[in-house]
Formats: sequence, C-alpha cells, structure tokens
Amino acid sequence: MEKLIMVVDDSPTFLSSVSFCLRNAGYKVTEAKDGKDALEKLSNMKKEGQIPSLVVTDINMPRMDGIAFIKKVKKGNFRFLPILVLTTESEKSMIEKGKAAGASGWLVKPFRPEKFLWVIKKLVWTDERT
Amino acid sequence: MNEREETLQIFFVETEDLLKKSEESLLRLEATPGPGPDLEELFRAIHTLKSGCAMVGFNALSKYVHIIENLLDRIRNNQLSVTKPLISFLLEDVDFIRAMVDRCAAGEDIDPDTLNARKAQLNRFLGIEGVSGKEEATLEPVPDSVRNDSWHYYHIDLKFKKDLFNFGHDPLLLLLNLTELGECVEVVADTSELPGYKEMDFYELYISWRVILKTTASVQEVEDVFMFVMDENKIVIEEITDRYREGVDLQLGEMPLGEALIERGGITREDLESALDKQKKLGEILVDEGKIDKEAIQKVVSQQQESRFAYRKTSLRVDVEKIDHLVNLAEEIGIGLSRTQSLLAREDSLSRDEIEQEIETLLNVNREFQERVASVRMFSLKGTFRRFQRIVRDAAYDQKKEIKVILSGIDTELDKEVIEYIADPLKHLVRNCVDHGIELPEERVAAGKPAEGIIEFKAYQKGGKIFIQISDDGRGLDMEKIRHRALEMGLDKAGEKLDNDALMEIICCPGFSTSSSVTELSGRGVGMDAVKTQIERIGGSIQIETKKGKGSVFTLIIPLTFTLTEALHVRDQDISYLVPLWGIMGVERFDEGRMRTFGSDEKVYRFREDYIPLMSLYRIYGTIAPENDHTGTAAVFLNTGRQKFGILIDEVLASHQVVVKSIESNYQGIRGVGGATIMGDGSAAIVLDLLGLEEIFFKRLLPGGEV
Repeated sequence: MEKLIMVVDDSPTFLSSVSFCLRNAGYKVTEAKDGKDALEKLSNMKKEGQIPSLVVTDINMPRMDGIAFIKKVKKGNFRFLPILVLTTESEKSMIEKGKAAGASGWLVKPFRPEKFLWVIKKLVWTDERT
Repeated sequence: MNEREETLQIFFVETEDLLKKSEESLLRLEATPGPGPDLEELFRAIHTLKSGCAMVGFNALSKYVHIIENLLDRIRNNQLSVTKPLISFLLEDVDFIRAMVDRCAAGEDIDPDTLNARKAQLNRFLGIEGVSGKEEATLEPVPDSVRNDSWHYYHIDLKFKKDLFNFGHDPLLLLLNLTELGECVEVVADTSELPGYKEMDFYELYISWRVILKTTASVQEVEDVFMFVMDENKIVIEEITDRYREGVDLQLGEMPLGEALIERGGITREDLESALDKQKKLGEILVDEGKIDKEAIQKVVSQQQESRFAYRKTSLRVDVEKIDHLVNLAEEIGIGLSRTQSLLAREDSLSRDEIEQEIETLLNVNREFQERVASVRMFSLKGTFRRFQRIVRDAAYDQKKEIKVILSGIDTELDKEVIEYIADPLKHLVRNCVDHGIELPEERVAAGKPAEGIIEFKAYQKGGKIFIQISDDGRGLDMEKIRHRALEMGLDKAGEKLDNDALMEIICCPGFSTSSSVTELSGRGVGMDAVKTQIERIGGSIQIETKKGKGSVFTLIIPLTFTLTEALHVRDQDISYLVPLWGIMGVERFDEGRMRTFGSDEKVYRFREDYIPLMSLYRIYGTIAPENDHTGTAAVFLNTGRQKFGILIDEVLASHQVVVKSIESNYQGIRGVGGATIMGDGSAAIVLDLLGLEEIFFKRLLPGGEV
C-alpha cells in the first residue's frame, strides 16, 4: 500500500512542487496550508483511522507556525509521528527549538529532490521493507 | 593480433551495434514518449555501452555515457519528460559517442575540451528540462549500485536516548537503513538496561546496539544514515577495515577478556573495574572454602605448565606477503636446480665453472630462503609488553599504588614459541615488581622519592641473544631478610657474601619467599624457581641486580630462536659438533708450545696476548678417550660475553646455517648441549651450548650433568 505523507506549507508553489516530487516517487500526499490547518486535518484523519506515516512541515507560517505545530502534535495523540522540517530557516537556535519540540529531522531549502527522497525513505517504513 | 587488439575489435563491433539500437529506440520513443519498453531498451544499450567503455579503458567516455544513463534513469522515474528537443539532443549524442569511439579506435586521445563542452551542453539541457525550476539540476554521476571499491568494515555503536520514539525515530528502521548500505555481519543487542516488566515504560527505548557493517560505502555515507540522530544520541562509527578480516577482529585476540568485552560486549570501563574489584582468584576462593590447600594448587599449576610446554600451539598467523616471498624463493630454487640438471645433461662440454656458479647462486637463494622461513616465526614483543602494562595497571589499582610504565624496544622480535614460553615467567616478575618492589605512595614520599613509582620494560638484541629487562625504582630486594630466610631454611650459601649467582640460587629455591603474605596465589602460582626452570629450558638465564632503596633489575637473557643458528662444523674423535658462530673469537692450528699445564689437567693457552683456559671436547663430554695422548689439532676460542675459554678439537670443517632441534623431548636437558641437528650428509651433530660450557669450565659443574 502507498504510504501517506502530509505536507504543510503556506506557499502554494512550494506545496505543489514538494507534493509532485513525492507523488512521483510513489507516495500518497495530503496537503495543509499551515499548522492549524494541519492539526485539524490530522485529527479528522485519526477519526477515519488513517494517520500519515510522516509529516513534512515548513516553519514560518501564518496562524500557527511549525514549532507550535510540532509541540501540539507531540503533546496530543501523535507522540510518535515522525516530523521532518523543510524550511529556509537555518538559524541554529531555531533548529534547536525544533528538535526540542520533537522534530525528527531538519532540512534546509532549497533541496535536491534526490536528497529529499533519500531522507524520506530513511524515515518511512515501506511495505517491501517490513 | 594481440589480446588487447582482439578485445578492442569486439568492443567496436558491439558499440556500433549498441549505437544503432539506441538510435532506433530513440526514434520509437519520440513516437511514444515516457517510460516503457523502448526506454528500457535504450537504457540497457546505454548501460552496456558504459560498461564496455570502462572495460577497454576509455574512462573519460565511460563517465560521459554514465551521465546519459542517469538522465535516462530520471525519465524512467518520471522526473524528466520526453520532449522533441530531448530526443534530438540524445540522437546527437549517439553521433557524438560514435565519433569519439572512432577517435579511440584510431588510437587518438579524446580532447578533454570537446568532451567538457558537450558535458556542459548536457547539463544546460537538463537545467531547462528539469522537474522544477526551483531545484538545481544535478548530473553528478550517482554511485553505481555495485562499485569496484574494496570492502570497508565499520564498528558502529548505537546508544540512543530513552525517548527516541518521541522524535519519530525508529531504531529498527535505522538498522534497516544500515543494511541497505551493505551487510551487517555482526549485530549485538545489549538488553542489560531492560527493566522488569512492572517498571518498564513501553514508550521508552532500553536497548542499545553494536553492529559490524560490511560495505563499500564511505564513513560519510554511513554517518548519513544517522544524520538526524547523530547529535542527540551516542552514535560512534569507527572504521575497522584494517583489523577486521573474514568475521574476525584481529585485535580482539590480543586483548584481555575485560578489554574485549568493553570493545565488543557493550560493558563500560567502570563496569569492568568494579567487577575486577570484586573478583577473587580461583585459587583464593578454593583455599578460603577449605576445599584445597595452597600446595596442592601450586602442584596443579606447575603440572599445567608442563602440559603447556608439551602441547604448544601449532598454528601461526603469517603475513601473506611473507608467504609470497617464500613461494618466489622456492620457485627460484626450482629454476636453479633444473638449470643445474640441464648443465649436467649436456654431453658435449661439461663445464665445471658453470656448474659451480649455478650452485653458488643456489646456495645464496637457499640462505635467503632459510632466513625468511625463520623470520616467519618472528614476532615482536609489542603484544606481550602491552599486556604487562595492563597487569601493572590492575595490580597497582588493587594495591593502591601509583605506577608509571615505560616500554622500550617493543619492536624487538622473538621466535613465537620463545615468546609463549617466557610470557608466564615475565608475568611473574612483573607482579613481583608491583607486589614487592614498588612501595606505597606514602612510603615513597617518606623515602624522598616521587609518589609515583616506575616500572620499565626494555628489550634489546645483543650477540645472538635477546635481553629482556624488567626494572623498578622500588625498595630493592631486602638482603638482610633474604639472608635471614636463607639461614632459616638451612641453605648453605647463607653465610657467604651474596653475588648474583648465589642470590639467584637462593631466591629461585623452591618454596623460598621473603613475603609473609600469600600474594603468590595472586599470580599464577609460579614461584621464582618455576621462572628459572622455564627460562633455562629454552636455553636462557636470569640476572638480578638490586640496591636497597633504589630498586631492582631482572634481566632475562634468552636465545633469539631455536630454529636457525649459524655454526661452525668441527669434528673431534669422529663426532660432529657445531659451535655457534656468535661466541667464536678465533680458530687456530694447535701449537703445543703455547700451552701451559698446571696440576694434573688444568691447561691454559696463549691466545692474542692472553692466557685462557683450554679443554679437550672429549673430556668435557666424556666420549671415548683417545689412544695415546691425543690433544687435537686445532683450537676454537670462545667468548660468551662473560668468560673466555677454548676447546680442543681434531678438525675444523665448514660454517653452516643449521636448524637446531631440541633433543629435550626425549632426554632431559644436558648441560653444555644446546640441541642436535642433521647435517647435509645425513649424519647427526651436537650443537654446543656455550653458556653451559662456561659453567662447566668456571663453576666446575659436572660436565654433561643434568641441568
């Protein structure tokens, strides 16, 4: 079965290019436009019994930023959900914050698709590997 | 046509075929763009072409084709769409490759500028056609799935924080990612931290791992697997390729168990030290429990040693290089022999000169061969000394002493068997230094010495012998106490002034100990008597120097090897003897005028302005007494480094390199006889033991008596 990945970003261009890249590599993708939207979608998904295998999120977003989003996710019902941060933010203190909040990894934009997919593969169990 | 030309011919034919196929596939692909059988065929053709170029050595071209292969791979993965410009570009590429191959065929080099220009075009092309304008197009050749790199071995220690799961990481996934780099030849999970069922938090991680990974990947690639967990967790990656072979960590065998457990079993140094603190020696436990008395243990320990002496290890790990060299030399000998044979078979003119020359060459090769064979058995004292360093450390820790260890001459090489023999005696001496030599820090400071004592291990080679010294700057042997104990034990030497030999004799006396404590059990139960016996067994000796309050020096003098000795072949009363060359000062025709006789048969002989004692070999070994007053026709003058003396013989033959066989397995050690060997003509010869002979001369010990 295809693995589901949630992508959270406020830039539609970026959102679609990341999604495109993931879909091309055979993942199922669901999109959210900021932290708040993502949280809502996550809890709806949980009700339907379909939790993503990984969340890829931006940091600087309106309404709820990435750090707050991660904190909420980790405190709520998704303690063990891997969250990969994909952002232009490369400030060390910010990375520390993100990691402390519970981020699994931190990638800085712009990125190479190969590298991005390679990292995704490292974080997601796929059927042929279980 | 030579082999290279033939290969090239096949390559050119195949290349033309592959390029034609590529053209056809490209044209079909233009009609039905996207992944499918046409693309697969094109991909296969290009892949084969790449390997072909690499095989015939057209590396620059191969690299270029590799980039095209990557490009096609992107189309396969839907990362790049097939467009008309792309097809035209690739068709152009086919022509370009064809032209380049033609150049190679004509023996011309590919102009790097031409190739780079084309590469730049390729890159630019892909920059436009890339998946997304935002992403940089990468056309660096990605590593082949199987590279020609050699295998690397990595030792990977994974100690994660307990809350790893909270960060969305899964240790099993990480391990799985590791297996994608290569093969995990060893995986050990340390579950010692796992609490009982009731205390366990199922959302925490208690297990750590130790993995040996066999891979062609670089350290960087291995580290990348742990890129997100590297900082917060204890991940240690160490390349061990140099010391890991076929599932065996070469270094492990050299380590004491405790060290090996730290390295591979996942215990910490603190664990080891606390365990060592608690540990009692088997002997002590049994004595404490009243199951056995100390003497009985001593007896078994010495029986064990007997047994070890008898069944030595029979296998040897030898450098392949050394073996290769031997094989080469063996071949050279074979060639030399067949040359000699053909010389002899030549009927016309049998040239003695030529044959002699061949034999001369053969002798030289053979000498080198023998030296190399002997060197196969030679090992440095490094491992042994390093072990002692550890023993000192542990014993000092036990006894709350501060000791610094200095090692020198650790590269000195010794026969493997000799090293095995001396390991236990040396260990005993080391323990003696720590137990009895070095004082407690308070005592040392009170005596005006630095609190930290020094034990020095030193090895060097001199005159065919190896000297191994263990010295300490401790309190020295207590001569008063020794004298006292000697009197108590009724040893007759006690009254006299003690020289080195007498001292040795007393402290090496079975059962002699000046110490009131039972530390003897803390060693392996080897007393000084056992040390002396063991060392003498391999033809060695021990010297002691000691100064009250300043320390002691124990020196073991041992033969380099028992295998090969350069010796002079002499004959007396039709018995062949071999005199080790290292002790020979000179050989002269016997001149009766230079000999003086004292008493009944004390003889001295004037040799180089010096009168030195002289004896006939037949008298020493008690062989058949000659008819009438036979005195021999030649004299060999010897110097052992301590004493000079001469022996009278009938005949001096040639000097030989001989393999000395110990005759002690059949007979008990005989003073003055170092061993025996078989000579070239099949007869046996006795190898003289010069230090033994010296004892016969100067200590009036029974010639030929038991050691």
